[in-house]
Amino acid sequence: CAGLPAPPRPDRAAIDSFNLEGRLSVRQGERPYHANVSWRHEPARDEILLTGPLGQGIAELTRDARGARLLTAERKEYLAPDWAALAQEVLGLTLPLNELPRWLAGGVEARSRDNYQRPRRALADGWQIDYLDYESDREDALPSLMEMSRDDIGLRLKIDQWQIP
Amino acid sequence: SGLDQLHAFLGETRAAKGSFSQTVVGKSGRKARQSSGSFLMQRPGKFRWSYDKPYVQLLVSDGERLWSFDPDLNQVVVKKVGQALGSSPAALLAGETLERNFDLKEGGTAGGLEFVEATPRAQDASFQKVRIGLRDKLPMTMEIQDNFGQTTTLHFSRFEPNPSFSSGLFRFTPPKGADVVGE
Repeated sequence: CAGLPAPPRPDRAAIDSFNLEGRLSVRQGERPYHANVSWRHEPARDEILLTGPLGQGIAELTRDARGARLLTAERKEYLAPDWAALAQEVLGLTLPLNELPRWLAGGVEARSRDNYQRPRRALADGWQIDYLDYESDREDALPSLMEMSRDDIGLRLKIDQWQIP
Repeated sequence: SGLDQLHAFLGETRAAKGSFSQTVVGKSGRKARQSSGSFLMQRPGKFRWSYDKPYVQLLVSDGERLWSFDPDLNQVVVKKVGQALGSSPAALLAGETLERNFDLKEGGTAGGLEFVEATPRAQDASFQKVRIGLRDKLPMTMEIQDNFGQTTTLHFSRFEPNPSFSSGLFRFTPPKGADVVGE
């Protein structure tokens, strides 16, 4: 899809809804986790589906006003007041899920910028966020490869496709 | 019948290679995702499943370990196969005794194919059902229904039974600089 012309994008900080398709690897110490990600984000609602290479669902995370829910492939359901509590309780991982939508769009206070003036590295809530690649050379381009690390947790996210409604 | 063809395939085809196209259709308005690639397999449990479109992902198993490599993430995850392969769709192609892990029943005929429906016996299997379409004792299609209302459809082409190839293909040596994680 590199051939597609780069679409103009709204201002990063103004992006409050998106659909994205990508691939995520989470590493805590030697514990790996690897899945395809499809994420529908809106201010009031989130839906993340994690799937394996053959497309089978591994887990579905949803969040809305009532709280956060995780449904696993084995049909186990976990509920929590919000995402951060859910990830901590179920996966034993402190994941910046509440802040992630803003970080993904690049709405961060950048410590350094690349030569197209887009965020290259940021620090937030103890996480180091590195924007390794963007979808195009436009100044308003959205990230396509990111790394986030804190203590012994490392997240690497390849975003194959953005859709901004 | 479908079951006869499947048993013939399991008995007579010790190894196979071919290409596949894959379509994943999700529930409620999720866009269908297309991908394609090629595969090799050798009983018992060895397979090499490589996607090359829309991006490269490689799954290799020697029957004991499963390597999954994603060049964009530059990461190799290594896992013990154990029970995981037992009830995965790959097991249907590369496995030996299906009855142990699946309930098998006839799935009718359509489009020149005879079908078998395989339901994993394990309660915690990651999918509900697989429907395999066979012709000339070889699988042509595989439809996998997962537990989230998604259906993956695989179409096989250039399916070559019992080709000769080196079994070294079922081990994976991570490229230099790749992040290798797992046991």
